Amino acid sequence: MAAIYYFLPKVLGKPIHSYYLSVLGFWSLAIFYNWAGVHHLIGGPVPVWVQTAGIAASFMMVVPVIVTGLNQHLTLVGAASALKYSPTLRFIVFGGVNYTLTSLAGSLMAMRSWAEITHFTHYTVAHAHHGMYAFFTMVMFGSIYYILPRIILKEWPSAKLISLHFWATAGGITLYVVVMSIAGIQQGLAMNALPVGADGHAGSPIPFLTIVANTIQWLELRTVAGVVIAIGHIAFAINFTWMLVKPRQPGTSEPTLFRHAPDLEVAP
Amino acid sequence: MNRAPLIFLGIFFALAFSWTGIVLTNHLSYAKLQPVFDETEGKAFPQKLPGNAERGKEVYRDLGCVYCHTQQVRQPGYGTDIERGWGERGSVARDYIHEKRVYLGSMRTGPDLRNVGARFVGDAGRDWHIQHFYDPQITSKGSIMPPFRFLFETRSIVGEASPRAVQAKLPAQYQPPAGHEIVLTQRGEDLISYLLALKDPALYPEEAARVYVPKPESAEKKTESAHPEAAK
Ligand code: HEC
Repeated sequence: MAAIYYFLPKVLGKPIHSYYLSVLGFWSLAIFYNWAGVHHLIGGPVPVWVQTAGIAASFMMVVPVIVTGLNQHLTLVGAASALKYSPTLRFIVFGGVNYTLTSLAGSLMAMRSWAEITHFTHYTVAHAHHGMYAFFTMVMFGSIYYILPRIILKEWPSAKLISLHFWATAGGITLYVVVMSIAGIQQGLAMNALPVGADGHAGSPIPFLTIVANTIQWLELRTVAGVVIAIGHIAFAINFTWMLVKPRQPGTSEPTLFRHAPDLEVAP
Repeated sequence: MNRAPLIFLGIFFALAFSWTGIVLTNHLSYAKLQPVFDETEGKAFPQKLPGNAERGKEVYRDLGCVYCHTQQVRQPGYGTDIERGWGERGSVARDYIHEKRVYLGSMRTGPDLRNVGARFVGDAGRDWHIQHFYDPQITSKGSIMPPFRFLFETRSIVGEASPRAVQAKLPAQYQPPAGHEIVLTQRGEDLISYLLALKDPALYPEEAARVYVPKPESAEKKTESAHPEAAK
């Protein structure tokens, strides 16, 4: 989060939209997030009031998420064309948008009725990767693209490899989250179903192995997504190693951008 | 303007609040739970695991079974755990009081195992686990549980065949070459002891008064008196 708040204004060359919104976002996050942790035990063997407190806190998380999302969005408005040029910005904005998405999905997952379906399924796995990869990892990639040239005083050797890195990881993780979410919802609905038997009464549950069999096609797509992400990582590793071994150029150098920006300066 | 005191107070409050939420509230609500003494059976429940099962629990942890299996039965009416036969009642906090580490789990790639000891019982249960660990396809065609064949050892028979050889329980295509036998390792034995011992008792009276249970009769035979000493 701090990385987004730092790099967004840095790259755009304009201040964050509202200082007060960011402070509000910080403190509401610091206060509600901890209590929200209990939402992992919904329907579990802990007292119901503890779970309910966790659910309430999970919904309060909507406050920092909306505040932060708005603040960052309003900062980007009017300067979005910089996304065409700056690698750092592209990764960070992708991360920021997914922070909003995954957090709102997380609040929904704390609802008892939604948790009844999604808890214990691949949906949770999708959500975890949405947060840890589509948000956190992508922001970190963006930060590395910004920090490294300034530390070792060399530019990234290949804009094409950065582009490949971005599209492979962004596309791969999007596919990953989508297929695992579908798999999880399907799995959860099947686990909870009690199909009506011939006698008109709710019958017996769907056999476990049938449910396992139905998830396999999605797990295969998950592997595809993983391979695409790995391709992105390899592109990154090549670029990174190349950058370390290439000789330092004397004099001033230009940043490696996707395209040559006519003018990156943003009018105040 | 020096904001340090204000920020310090804010951080202090945030940490105190989260400590209250995560540690204190939970501690207050179930840290003091004790085993319940059942006079008709002369035992306190939940019971501690026997030693070999306790070792088996370490194997369970070591092999990462928790990534695919939960150990918590949902309450009746929430999901279909009861209908699936994963337990006769939902799990309650008291079930876990002897456990230093609980393997509640968060993913059900495989079934819940909290009461697996009630589904696979005695020698037949042991044989099922042996087949299942050797290759899940023997018992559960289409399973995506990996085989845990390293819990077995194929070795040449020196002198007499071991009484612990298990190949007779396995189908034809898994038989070792002539003069060899398959034995279950100590870790395998321990893990199976754990699975055979893994089940929760009937509901404790105090919880029965609070939690909806499908079969209240089974809980009534328990008495209200708690004798924590008896668990030692
Ligand atoms: C990759 C996920 C995965 C892992 C890891 C895994 N299992 Fe399983 N397990 C399954 C699946 C899927 C099933 C259901 C099909 C079957 O019976 O094999 C299952 C079934 C079982 C069953 C039968 C439960 C029943 O009621 O039918 C037992 C017992 C079991 N696993 C024990 C273990 C133990 C012990 C470990 C660790 C050594 C383990 N599993 C690791 C996926 C897994």
